[in-house]
Amino acid sequence: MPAQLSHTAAMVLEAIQAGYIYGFTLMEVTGLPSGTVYPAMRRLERDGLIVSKWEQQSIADAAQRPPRKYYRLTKNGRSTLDAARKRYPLLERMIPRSQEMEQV
Amino acid sequence: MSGREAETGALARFVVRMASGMVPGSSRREWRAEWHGELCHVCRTRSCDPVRFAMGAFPDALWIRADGLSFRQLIPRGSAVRCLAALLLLAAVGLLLCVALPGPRRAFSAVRDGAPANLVVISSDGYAGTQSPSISLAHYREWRANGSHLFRQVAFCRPEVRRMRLAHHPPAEIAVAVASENLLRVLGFSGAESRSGEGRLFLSRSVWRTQFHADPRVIGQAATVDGSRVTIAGLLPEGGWHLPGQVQAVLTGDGFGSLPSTANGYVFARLRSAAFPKGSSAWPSFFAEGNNTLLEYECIPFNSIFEQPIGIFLFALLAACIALPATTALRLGDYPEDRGRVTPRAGLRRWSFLLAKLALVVAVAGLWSFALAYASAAAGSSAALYIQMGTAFPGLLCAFRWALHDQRKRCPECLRLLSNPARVGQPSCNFLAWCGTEWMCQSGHGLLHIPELPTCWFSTQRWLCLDASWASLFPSGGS
Repeated sequence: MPAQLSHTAAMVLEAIQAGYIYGFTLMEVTGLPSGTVYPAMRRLERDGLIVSKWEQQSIADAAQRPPRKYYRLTKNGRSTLDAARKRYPLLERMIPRSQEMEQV
Repeated sequence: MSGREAETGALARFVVRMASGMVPGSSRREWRAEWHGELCHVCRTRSCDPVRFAMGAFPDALWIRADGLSFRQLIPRGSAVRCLAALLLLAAVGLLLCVALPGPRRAFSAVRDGAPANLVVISSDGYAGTQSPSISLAHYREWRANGSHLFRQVAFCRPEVRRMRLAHHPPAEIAVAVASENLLRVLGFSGAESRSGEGRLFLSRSVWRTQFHADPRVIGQAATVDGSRVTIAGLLPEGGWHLPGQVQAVLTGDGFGSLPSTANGYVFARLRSAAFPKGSSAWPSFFAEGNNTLLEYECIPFNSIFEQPIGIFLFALLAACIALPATTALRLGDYPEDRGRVTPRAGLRRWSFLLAKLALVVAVAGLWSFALAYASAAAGSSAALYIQMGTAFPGLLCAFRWALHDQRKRCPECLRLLSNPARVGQPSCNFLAWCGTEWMCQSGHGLLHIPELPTCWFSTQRWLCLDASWASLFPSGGS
């Protein structure tokens, strides 16, 4: 049975599903402060709803910046998000889709 | 990138670095790399303030530190953090008392706000003259007429308990300062000017609240004070310094004219700076004729009256520091830093903890003694100063003794309180051996030996470091 999420956690999960995969972009799209978004991501990762992966060094080198960590939903995370969408019907409308996922 | 942006970026990186101290060592590097990567992105895109963004690193680091741990595990019993948190809580409660209780709040705001620099109370009896009315009305009249070279303005008031009656309100006895017309102007209360002849009463806000339930309609109403008709002209400003004698209202006009010339009261004045050149630490003074002799009158600044709590507390602090070596040993014991595992870093942490503890106990003693003193006596009164001294000195002495005692009972490595005391040796078998109590660090860092009978070969408590071979005996690993 999927875990029940708080609205904040559901928003973060929805935003990751929508393609906002970095911590700062999640902050921008959800409007939540960094002190809320990052602990929420840690909790979701601990519960196995998302996984993190480091960006390829070559991409970071090309952009002349340090590599960033990005997040993806797991299978369990997707089923939990489906349950969260039923609980919070406006969730999908709050987060616009992003094309950022394709660039990774 | 402009200089300001570079500064902001550097500050944000510093904030993240500070927060990383809370992250467990095993995941610190990766955690910092993630925040660093995101921070670089924020600085490049300039889409939000980097420092504000970096402040989020603290809750994140705290969450990682606390994840899966209960409060007890996060801040174990007897830990240094718990000790400092308890002291901080005590200091916060003391500050709350100083701000919340009316007496301490008035005294606190008096210390904070201060009074005009040239405002003084004239006294023929030093500081004691500010505690009871000592100047006769005749002297005041003479200084007012002939003292213009010394004072810009002089005002007189005499505190008296008088019966006040107001329509639709029960009669009340209140402490009224029967004052000259210029008293409020001399004290610096603007908008409270009195017209001559008319009896005008200015109520303190506390009386207005308690006697008249903060009813705004009482302002402007006619009342009687001991049978004389007066008009309630307004309210005295709240907070800041106030008149001696716990005055609840100021009466000007007709009431002042009816005072006999022998009536004693307080005289307030605004000094002419040219008449009393600066440079001397003593209170300014002048000579005037009184009782057929030449008397010296001192001008005691209002500021010095209401800054007395600071001076008293500093004196109590000094006295406690002097008395401390007479009441307890100052040595903290032998901690071999060149042997064992007590690293210089741990030594620095230990001393920082002791200093933080001492600073907090000073704050706790200061705030609590201030709150106790001014909750039970009026600001500016001698009683309040005696109570403050009487509570601050023993409080500080006991607090210092406790801080040293607590420091001796802690592991120098992890700063947790030692436990499991065990008796070692016998007093009758003390030759080249020792008898006393052995305390143990729960994390297995070492043992503390406290001699019962100090000898020349074992005079003070001694710390014995345990090496890694003991680690298996302790659940938390001893590292």
